[in-house]
Amino acid sequence: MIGLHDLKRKRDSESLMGVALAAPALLVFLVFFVYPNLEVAYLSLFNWAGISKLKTFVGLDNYAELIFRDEVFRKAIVNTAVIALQSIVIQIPAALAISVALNRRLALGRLFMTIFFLPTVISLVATGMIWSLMYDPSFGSINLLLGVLGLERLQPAWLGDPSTALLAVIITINWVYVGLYAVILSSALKTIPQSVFDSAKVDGLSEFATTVRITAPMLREVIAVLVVMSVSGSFKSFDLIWSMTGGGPVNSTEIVTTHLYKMAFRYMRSGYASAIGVCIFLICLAITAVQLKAMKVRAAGRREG
Amino acid sequence: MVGFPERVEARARYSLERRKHHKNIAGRVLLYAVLGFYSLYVLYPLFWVGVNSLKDNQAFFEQPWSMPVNPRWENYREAWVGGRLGRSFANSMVVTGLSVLSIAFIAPMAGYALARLDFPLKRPLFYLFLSGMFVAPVTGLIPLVKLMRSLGLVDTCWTLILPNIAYGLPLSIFMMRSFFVGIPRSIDDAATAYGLSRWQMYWLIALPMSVPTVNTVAILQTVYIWNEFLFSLVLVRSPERFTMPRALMTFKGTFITAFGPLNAAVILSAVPTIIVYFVFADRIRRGMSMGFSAKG
Repeated sequence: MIGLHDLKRKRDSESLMGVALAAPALLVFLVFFVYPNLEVAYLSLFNWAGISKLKTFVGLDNYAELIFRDEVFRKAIVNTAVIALQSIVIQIPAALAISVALNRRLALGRLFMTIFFLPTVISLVATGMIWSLMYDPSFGSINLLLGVLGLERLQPAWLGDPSTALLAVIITINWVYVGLYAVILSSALKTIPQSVFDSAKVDGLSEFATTVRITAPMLREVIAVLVVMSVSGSFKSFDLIWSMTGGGPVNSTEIVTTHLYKMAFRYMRSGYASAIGVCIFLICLAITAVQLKAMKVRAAGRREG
Repeated sequence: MVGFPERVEARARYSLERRKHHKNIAGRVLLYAVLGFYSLYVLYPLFWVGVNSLKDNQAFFEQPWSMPVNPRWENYREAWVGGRLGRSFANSMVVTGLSVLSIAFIAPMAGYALARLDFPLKRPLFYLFLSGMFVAPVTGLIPLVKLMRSLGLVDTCWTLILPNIAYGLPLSIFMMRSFFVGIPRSIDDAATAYGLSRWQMYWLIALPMSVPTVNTVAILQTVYIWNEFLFSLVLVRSPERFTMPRALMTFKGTFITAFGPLNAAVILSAVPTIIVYFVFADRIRRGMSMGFSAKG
């Protein structure tokens, strides 16, 4: 018979092993992830140049400046929101269309999938450089192509012109992410039984109507995840815009992360930049809370259904 | 003899079938046209960089649409040696290699503990790791610089390896935990019946079973860490220690008028992950989809 003592010892050894196995990961995570992300809140209360030891406590002044007086921050928030919004209204529908097309068991389906996903594995710095060269007004392919098509009047300076820079950046962002979304959506599409599409055809629904009225609603869980992720992704992204425009010209492509970087490492305002960091943290937290709530609702719905 | 109504019906059915057939062909053509056009959008920039990496400046400006007549392979040598990309390539190998090996070693351990063992504060710990997937790396950047400075690690390879491990762990632990949760309990019982201790159960049974998942984790992190730029931008000062993306960024500044080597540099930085992708396409697609839906 197992005595109470043995049982306790057994449980102790299990606890010990659990702690021991989790310890290395926890240690690295606490020191290089948790600690910096907490300290940033503390640093945001100071006027601090970053290199010097000298820090002046300023309370919530940094936040007051950020919210009420920083025009560039406002611009950065608007740009980030535009990028997030376009990912909902352009990227995801485009990805859905591609995934529906790929779902047709085409002979070249796998090849297309491989091609569409390719940009996802290339570093965003390299992607930014490739597209900066493509957009160049004097030798870039895009304007050369417009010239060949007889559209000389339609040859903007792209990244050099504040009115077209954001558009140019967005075209590149879509080049990277539409393929990824299409792959995610088409693996979700495979879980819808073929009979659903067959009966839609019998009922005389067009391809477009089927996609909008049947396929999209059936994929709403995955689409919801994509929406939340692309929005929070917009607030996290840095590399691509940094390598294409650095936020310029005249802040026309400034996003929250590039603003933070410049404040910290160009203008040496580390305390202020920390306040931006806290704002980004809170925005990501809010988006995640919405997502977790949506997932909970979904899980509850699944239990009932 | 076939009566009139039947004949009409047969003819009607025939023409309907024909029309459907035509519509199918037209639909297929349209489908391939759309997918083909999108493929062009994806592939053309890469193709263009590849072609230009073999041209000299004169050909680059004067014959933008033609193939390189005398492919200038020296461009690659110039980028590799003159642009010191060789050095950065080696740095990237060291940073990526050590980070991925560490993750592949400690993430399964933590994943197993969270999936199969009972210990105090297990749930909060799980949520703590999970939170790592939702926080932007830029948030903790300033304290991270301060930390590396006070640890005296700036400009060593550890200044990149340690944050890369910390930020790679959440997704990796999440994937490992999902795998270990799926192993049936009966295997534990069988192992106990054979007299295996808990530790032996992990090292001799669970870990070997998880090798395919560990591989997926490692491949995925290889791609992410090879491409990592932000840490490298703020935590490394000396050009001797630059990783590939960072070196590429500097290269752009110094070689701004040497377009051949510039394009060659882009290709050199992208080739390793593209090779990894072609070899492990399915794993990467599955893993990245999972990573994205969990991470963003």
